[in-house]
Amino acid sequence: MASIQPNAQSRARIVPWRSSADLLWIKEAFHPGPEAPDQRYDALTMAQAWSVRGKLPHSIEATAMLTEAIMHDRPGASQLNLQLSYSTAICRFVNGLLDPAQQSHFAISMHTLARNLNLPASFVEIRHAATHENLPSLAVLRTAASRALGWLWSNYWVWVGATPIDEVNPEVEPQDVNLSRARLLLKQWRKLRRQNPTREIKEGENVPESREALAIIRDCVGICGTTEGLDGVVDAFLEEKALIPSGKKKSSALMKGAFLLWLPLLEPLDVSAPNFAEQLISSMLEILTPMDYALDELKSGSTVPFLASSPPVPKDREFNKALVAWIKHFTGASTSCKFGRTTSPETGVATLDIDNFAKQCIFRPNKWTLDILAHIFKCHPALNSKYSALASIAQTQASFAIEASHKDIEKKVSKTNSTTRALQDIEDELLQFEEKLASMDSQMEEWMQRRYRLREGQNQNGGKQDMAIDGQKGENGGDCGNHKWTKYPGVWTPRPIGVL
Amino acid sequence: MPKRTRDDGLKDPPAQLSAFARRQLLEAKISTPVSPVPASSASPTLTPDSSTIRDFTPPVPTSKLKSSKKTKDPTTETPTTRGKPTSRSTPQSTDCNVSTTKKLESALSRQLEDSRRRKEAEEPTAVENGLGDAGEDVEDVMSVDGDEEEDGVDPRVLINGRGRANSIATQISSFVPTEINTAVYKPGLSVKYSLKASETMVFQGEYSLRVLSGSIQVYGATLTPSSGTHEVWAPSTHALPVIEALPRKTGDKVQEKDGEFDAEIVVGKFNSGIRDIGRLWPMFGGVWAPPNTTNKEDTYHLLTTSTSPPGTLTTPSAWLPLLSDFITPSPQAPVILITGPKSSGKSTLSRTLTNILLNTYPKIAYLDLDPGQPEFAPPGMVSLSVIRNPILGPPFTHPAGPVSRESKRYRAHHLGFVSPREDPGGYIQAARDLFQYYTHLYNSHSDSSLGIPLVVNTCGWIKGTGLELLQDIINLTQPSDLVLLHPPPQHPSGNASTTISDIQALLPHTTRFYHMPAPAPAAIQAKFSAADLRALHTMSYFHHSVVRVGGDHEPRISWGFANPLTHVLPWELPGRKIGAGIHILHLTPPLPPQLLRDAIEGTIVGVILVDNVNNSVEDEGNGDRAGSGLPYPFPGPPPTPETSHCVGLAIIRAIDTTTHEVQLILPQKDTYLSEASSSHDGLALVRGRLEAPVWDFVSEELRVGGRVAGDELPWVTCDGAAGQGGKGVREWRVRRNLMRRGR
Repeated sequence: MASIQPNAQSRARIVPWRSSADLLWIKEAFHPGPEAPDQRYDALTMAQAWSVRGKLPHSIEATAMLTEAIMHDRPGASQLNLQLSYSTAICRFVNGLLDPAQQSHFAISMHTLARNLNLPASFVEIRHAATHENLPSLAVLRTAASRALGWLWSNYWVWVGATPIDEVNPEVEPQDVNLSRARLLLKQWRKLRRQNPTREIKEGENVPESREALAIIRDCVGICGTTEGLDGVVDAFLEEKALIPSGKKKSSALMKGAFLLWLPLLEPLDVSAPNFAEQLISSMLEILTPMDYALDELKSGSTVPFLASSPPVPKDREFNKALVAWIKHFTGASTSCKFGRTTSPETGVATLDIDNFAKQCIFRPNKWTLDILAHIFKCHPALNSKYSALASIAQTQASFAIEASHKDIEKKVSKTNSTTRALQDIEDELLQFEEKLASMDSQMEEWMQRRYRLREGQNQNGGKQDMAIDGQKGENGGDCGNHKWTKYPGVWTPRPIGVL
Repeated sequence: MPKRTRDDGLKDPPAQLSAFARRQLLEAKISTPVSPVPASSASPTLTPDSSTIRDFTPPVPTSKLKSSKKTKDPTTETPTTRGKPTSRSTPQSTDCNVSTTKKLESALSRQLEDSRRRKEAEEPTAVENGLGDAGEDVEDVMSVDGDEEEDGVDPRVLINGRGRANSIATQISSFVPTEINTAVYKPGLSVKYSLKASETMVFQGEYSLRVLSGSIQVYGATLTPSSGTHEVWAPSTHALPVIEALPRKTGDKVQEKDGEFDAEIVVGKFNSGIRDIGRLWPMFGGVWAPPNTTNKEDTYHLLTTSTSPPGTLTTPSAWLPLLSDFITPSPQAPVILITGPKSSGKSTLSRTLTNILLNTYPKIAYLDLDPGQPEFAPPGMVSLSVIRNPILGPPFTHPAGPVSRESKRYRAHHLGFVSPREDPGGYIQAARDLFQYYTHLYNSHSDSSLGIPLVVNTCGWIKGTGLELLQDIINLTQPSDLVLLHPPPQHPSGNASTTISDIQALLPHTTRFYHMPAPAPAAIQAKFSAADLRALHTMSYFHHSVVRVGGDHEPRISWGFANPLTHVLPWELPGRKIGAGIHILHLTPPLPPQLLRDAIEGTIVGVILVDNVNNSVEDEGNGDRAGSGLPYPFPGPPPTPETSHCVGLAIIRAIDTTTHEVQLILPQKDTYLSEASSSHDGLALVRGRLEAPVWDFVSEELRVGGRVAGDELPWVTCDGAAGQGGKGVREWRVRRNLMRRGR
């Protein structure tokens, strides 16, 4: 016993899926993309097969129940039947989630538990209504079911198949969580609004679409509550299929569509999430001026080699064109776009300070920022008179600056890479390799011994079993050979259960 | 005959009873006057074949008994106010009974004394820890993770939930070994201990026990030189049995020079292999020896004093009146049904009662209707066993029924679930069939003029449907006695809506009703979760084998834990031999055949034999059914208890879809298997939802590497790969002990 460290064992447990690939499969099958074939039926059958093996994780079970209810929702289905299956699925989704959170001796209210788990309180309400009051209407249930699936996606499924957690650093960067949650919300938004992006979203209106849209806005605002959350939401916005249309050429027509689609989400965020507008536009600027960014880092004497940190990856031309289009839209004449024009009640300053932004552009001159500056000056003549002189200097220096920075960086990079690393690091690495080799050698030896022992044990086992079979023959008289069970013929090498 | 209410332990009828019941109780007391006959005048003349009665000794003076009782437990102050139904006892046997009662009570009262002493040392009392039963099915509350062993903390301290080991050493055995009372019997193998009356010994580990002279009592069983050798399993997963010397009978010669001892016993090393379970599941490696044991050679350890005393098995005083009622044989063998909520001590009481009955009757039938914590079957099964030898170990040391050479001794049904909740109808069907089997045994037995008593242990579900099931079981078995262990009000399950009168209302008039408080809540503090103990039981089942050794060819049980089941040579069963089909319980419609592997490979199934299978079904040739070559989906429902029985459990190691063969792992040389292997009846494999222990899936190589590579082992994962970090990752386990404020 002493020789066995139960470390790995104690963490091992039996799960219903044969391999993590199976789990990933069901994840995809439950969440078909717009073009992918609908595999939800297969996913349901598989989930049922798994449930024979043992209890499913609650989130998978809840996903299956909600999906089942949604798939029954076809024209001609009985209304009551649908209400019942939706209600049960939602009740079980909520209860299964909140019950295990009852950690104390005495019951805690469902609302408190839901808040702790970041589960919108409307689910608790629907659960209550479905259990104790009139069955909620089908419209309410449909929305709730699809929101529940969304919640499950962003709180469970995004974690499935996420980059395996390193032993050393089991904490996942909180930003990644926020990013995936935000991504999902934007995906939901896109799906919801794509058909009819101009449709107004009215507060208090009892239209499922409006309610869902408002819910997405609320969730986004919620994520933006923390610095990491804000970063995550902004990063999610700056991805293709979000603010950046997915077409190859970011034509102005495409961009127009993007404005229509996203401004109804961006504007409420600007109003409700402090710093959102500023963060979004400065992130855009950083993407547009990657070299300057790197240069700043090096010049400020930062000890961190810049390659180790994560500057915005330079994007391709079309991507940048889309960004510029957005910035131009934001910084245009105040009548065309409400985004960034929210004024803070205390300072009276707009969330998007165009004056300051123009200055930033002058400090980081390149072809994108100069293009933006020209646009700003055209729309805001006051700024033109204030900065035009500076801007023209910046323009003439732009080409030089870029060239210089290139050379500068190359030097710095080669320096950090080769000289400082050379001796110490390589020696350390060598030592590590030697240690590794030694441990592998000893492990090899151990395995050989173990194998030898196993084979011995095997022979013993085999002997015993032969006896057992003989014994049975004696007992049974041998007339029933047809029904006789047989043992695996030949030598048995130990292998995992489930492997032939 | 009026309904009798037996509540002698309480001076007054309990307040919970209805007025009607209270009146009846008082009437019963008046109508059955008791005879506090001085037992010394008794001359036992009855039933010469009963060794127990032959061994009667003059009982302890009543005054001593009383005084020792008074100080501790006023509720048992009047042990003699018990009435006997006239049909069950003759005048002689009443005398005899009293004497026996005294003897039992004197023995048990000494245990109480010990417990009090322990209490004074501010330790958990023996009585409080006297229950071997497991905790409730509350997963979150008391699951002990193997992780904790890494931190260098003694796992036992953690497991026992008794980290408060203080410096005060508590006396465990009252026997103190000296040069005079302890002697080597066979060098290196066994030791002879000479005990004075009422001296107690507690061992931890596994050992063989033989009485050389005098008599001893252990776990309710009275052992004498004629009892032969018994194997005792005493792991700290359950309360440890206490061996107590009984007073010597006058004229009974003890072969000791000075004759000052009352009993001599030989305790020997005994190695069944079960202690090796720690090699696969480290959590259970430390339960066989006290902490800081230096001598690893010994299979057992005498516990004299300890700073962190283990639970010892003593009988709560409230049980004494009940137990003493079953010391004398009655022409009509009793049918005793034991019920109560979870963790109220049902299994402990059933075992003790069985052992006490075995002092009188040559064999006892045990109807085990608790599929969650079964006594004589792996989890998920209900069974009827015929018992000839006292039960001297926790359930996982007899995982497939009592080991004996008797042929008709066992019948079991596979429920596939650890609770009757999933299929109450099937549960009652199974119970009915097992009871019929008992009736058949009873009518056909020829061993002695005495009947075969039946002990019925039920599951701890006595609310709602559970209460209805209890009603069904009562109607079915018509018990002569029903024992309700009810928790005190402050117990977590004490707010149960089921009251004593609820149970009483179920009883036929002929049934005597005992109700007694379950031991205090502290006793219920289980060391291992019910799920852990189930997994232990399941592992014990799959690693055990029954072998016939020695000149007598007596079957013996032994275990092999050198390797996980990945190393076991599997059986190969062609699909066509599974004549009665593969079934998955509670799944409609059936799965598409191509998903059969995903559903049942690597799971535990029940191996069922269908009696008188319809040949036409078998001849149809199952080989081509549904294209899978395996009899799934099988036309027709799963076998019912009326037409089939379960021969055991198997793990479906793998399914070969090309040859249509099923690889099965079964306990090695299980005697029941030969029945399955040779039977002409139809074979069915039935999948319920029993859980396989992970320790048998994780093979040696991985354990040495210290890291389980999730994807390499089917169905095994570390937490990292399965969406860890997200919400709702774990299964929804139900908590039933939640309290609401203001109640």
